[in-house]
Amino acid sequence: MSDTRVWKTCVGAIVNLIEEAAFKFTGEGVRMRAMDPSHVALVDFDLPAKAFDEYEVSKPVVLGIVLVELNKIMSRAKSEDSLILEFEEEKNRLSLVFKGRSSRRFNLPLVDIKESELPEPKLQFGATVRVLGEIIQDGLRDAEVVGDTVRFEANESGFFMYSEGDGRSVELKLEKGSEALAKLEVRQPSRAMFNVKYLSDMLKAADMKDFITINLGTDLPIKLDFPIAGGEGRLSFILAPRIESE
Amino acid sequence: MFSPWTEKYKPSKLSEVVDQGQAVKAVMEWARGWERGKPAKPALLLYGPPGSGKTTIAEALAKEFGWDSIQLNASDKRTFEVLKRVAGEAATTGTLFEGAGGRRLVILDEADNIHSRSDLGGYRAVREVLGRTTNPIILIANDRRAIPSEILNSCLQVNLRRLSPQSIERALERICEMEGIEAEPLALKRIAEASRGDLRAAINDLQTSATGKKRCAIRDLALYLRDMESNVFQVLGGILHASSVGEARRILWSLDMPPDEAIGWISENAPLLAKNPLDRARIYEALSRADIFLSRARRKQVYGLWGYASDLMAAGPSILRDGETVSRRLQVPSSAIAYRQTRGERTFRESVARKVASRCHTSSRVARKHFLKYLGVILKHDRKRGRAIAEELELTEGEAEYLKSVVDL
Repeated sequence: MSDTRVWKTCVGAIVNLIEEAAFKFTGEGVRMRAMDPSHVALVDFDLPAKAFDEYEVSKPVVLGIVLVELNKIMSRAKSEDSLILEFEEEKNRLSLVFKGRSSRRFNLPLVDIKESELPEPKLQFGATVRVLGEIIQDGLRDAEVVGDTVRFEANESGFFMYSEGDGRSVELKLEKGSEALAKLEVRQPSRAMFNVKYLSDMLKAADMKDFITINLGTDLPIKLDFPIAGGEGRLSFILAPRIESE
Repeated sequence: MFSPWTEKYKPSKLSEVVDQGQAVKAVMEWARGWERGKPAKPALLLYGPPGSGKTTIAEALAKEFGWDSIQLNASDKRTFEVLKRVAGEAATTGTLFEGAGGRRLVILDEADNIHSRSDLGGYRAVREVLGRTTNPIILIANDRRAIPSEILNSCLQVNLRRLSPQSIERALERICEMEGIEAEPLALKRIAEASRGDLRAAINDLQTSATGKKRCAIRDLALYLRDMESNVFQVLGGILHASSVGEARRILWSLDMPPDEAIGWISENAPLLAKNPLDRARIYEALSRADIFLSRARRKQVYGLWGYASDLMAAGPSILRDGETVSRRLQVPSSAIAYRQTRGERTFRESVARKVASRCHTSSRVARKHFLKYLGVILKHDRKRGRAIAEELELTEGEAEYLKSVVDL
């Protein structure tokens, strides 16, 4: 694959939520779905074969990868490097080759992880919005200043983020028709509250210039979809809402 | 593939849990409270002997109420941050499938074992989580007394009884039926009695003795059955009169007691039995070597050294003896008695030291060694400041009394 950035950013975002994960390589592409240890967030990673320059999987394999380690390796990739992933079955390891001016080979031992069959939650979202990554990131950084939770809200007039703590508060407004709001589809005004830290970690997967699709429902989990590999692949996160105590 | 019967026949409904009717009722009542909103006691403490069904009840409860559940074990790294993050998030967040309306049960297994594993404020995190939680939490423990009282106070405490041999026998019968095993009734009875109320141990014993045979006969059992503490005196006598190293070692191993506890029993009694002073000296020599191995094993966490310790303490007293033995009644080790008598005092000392440590940013050992006496003097002689300190540290009545008594020592 000629673009190392996809792996780098995706792994960089997932590693904060999950320590190790089972990646399934099949003829169609690479998939991974896992929950964080608190059962609060779900990661769904899908990179089809066509997102790679070359893709060759003779039989489906499930590779258990310690993400912290993979992330360390990926952080050594240079932007002009291309990346080759190879599974060495007899040694039970994954080798990663960075090809740039030189060729560097990392070997990463694999671990045994049960491949869990997690169903995708079926949620009836009330609103779907598409927002510029940069805006969400700003909103989250603002929220981090005042508290550890943030409320997302979408209604006919626009998209809002609100956070408060210890008497301080901050609000972000993105009104209907704004350039940074590519889509505002509200079947039902929706709002729910989330942990800022988790969202910030997830946002690490976003290119600031990309639009993120957000699905929202009142007191329902939030679903964030990031286009990856130029829209060929998909990285989604689902995060359960905070229970607002009265 | 090998699947343990303890998993295979784990009840998925509370009504299938063996013989804990009253406890189950209390647990259901508590869970129904959660369906209506946050109850006065947000957490439940299930405590009781091993194999009495604590974890099983917690898991079955989650299934029965359709709750998501996560489980944190003592084997997890239970530092303050990890507990706070994982348990804290899980306890205040809705579920992925039902959002804020969904409930998640947080099960903290071995809750009596948090602090001792890493002195990193595990209980402080638990307390914080209990205070903020919007989800049900179950703490599981063998020994309730090891848990700080502030945590106990916010828990509904439910005690699980040691299971009766009869109900264990019935549970074993059911498994035999489903596995198609022909079992001699007397064999099941023996297993049930030997398990001393531990259903998990009983099921494991049954599986060990019957696997691959489709039958369970009494003569297959002898090897597996544990010798329990009840016959510790008998075992001890055996060790002291053993005629070979091998014999002494076998006898010690049949005793279900860790060597660091067993050495107390042996060193209390073995020297007294030897008439000849030279024998006594030799026995003490062997025991003190064993003790060195034990402390190395503990300090360096190399429990492989237990083997050497066991050999020295088992074989030493019997083999190194030339002279006659006196026959006398064996005694409970005086250290065990002292331990038992000072338990209350030690509990207070530890809980106060922990509180002081967390407030003064020091370890509880330093707090215990250097701080407690001064606090005691203040508490005793300066009412006003004493009260302020007691408030600041959130001391209980008993803890304050203990501090005052320290001064007189």
